[in-house]
Amino acid sequence: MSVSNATRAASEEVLAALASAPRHVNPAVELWLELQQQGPLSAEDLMTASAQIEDAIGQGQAERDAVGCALRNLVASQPVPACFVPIGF
Amino acid sequence: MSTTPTLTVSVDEALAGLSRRRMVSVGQACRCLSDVLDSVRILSLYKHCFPRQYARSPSPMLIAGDDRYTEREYEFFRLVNQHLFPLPDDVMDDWPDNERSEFIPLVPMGMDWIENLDEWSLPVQVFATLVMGADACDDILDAIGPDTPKPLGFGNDHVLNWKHFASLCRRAGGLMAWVPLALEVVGHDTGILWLDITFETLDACPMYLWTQEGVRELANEWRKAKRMLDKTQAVLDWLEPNPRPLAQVIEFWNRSIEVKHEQSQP
Repeated sequence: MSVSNATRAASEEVLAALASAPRHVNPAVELWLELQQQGPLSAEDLMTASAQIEDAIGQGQAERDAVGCALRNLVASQPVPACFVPIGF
Repeated sequence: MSTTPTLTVSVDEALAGLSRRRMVSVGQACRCLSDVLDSVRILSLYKHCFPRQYARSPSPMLIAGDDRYTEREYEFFRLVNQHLFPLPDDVMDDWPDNERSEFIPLVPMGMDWIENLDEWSLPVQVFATLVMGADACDDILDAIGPDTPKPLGFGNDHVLNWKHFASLCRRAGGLMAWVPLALEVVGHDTGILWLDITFETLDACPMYLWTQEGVRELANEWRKAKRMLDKTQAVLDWLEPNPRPLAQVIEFWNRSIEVKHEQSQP
């Protein structure tokens, strides 16, 4: 396989992986939207759900940090000219 | 045949529902959830500390999920202030700018005479002069009465033997026995947070979270502080109309100043 074809295959693999990745909403955003959807928040209900809220905050912040880290890595990556134009660009 | 979907909500309801589902950033969602958690913690404390009042409260059991306190939280703050320990007035007033904090707000309850000593009573001025090791002005000594000794300063080579001073006061009996404690209160040196912090040192004092432990500790400290304040007030009430015993306090003080012994080098 030529270098050009190998690069194309790798790129397509990455794009396919991105396209097939499951839809995901940050847990903190998801829980907050869910709570808002329920309308006025009852203190008694929230008391029993406080562990779930704490988990959502912890996971939400961890995911935000991970995404931020990935973005910083992407921004810091050296640009490499593509040997083909991916479909859709 | 095409079927028309049945509308189960009105347009107004749909708009209200959509506005509630406004997208938020992760940071905003975390902040809102943290506010909810803070509110839950405070209301759980309310339920734990004052179960009967919590059960009987007419305030709504709702949490807004923003940085404003709810009506029920203000109710809890007022009960804390009434039964456990003092809270600053602005925390109990429903001010529009009153943003929530995870920490218990502290308010100095000692005698904050630093800025305006001249405006305090004679006994407080004398006690403050002693604890500062400052020179007593003639006006103060004259107000105590004739032949009042001048308090001795420490200098670099003298120290106060506190145990000896306390022992002299104790042996004198009566309210004189509480004078050392009153001096500690005036000098912000009681070891009790409420009495030792001032508005100048507030930023450097320990922070307490709204937890059962935080509330218990501050309530215990406040009980001790109140006993000390009551005794101090009794001493001041005794000395204010008749300051003559202050001359004896100064005499005991001077008798307790001793030469500092250099620590022997190992």
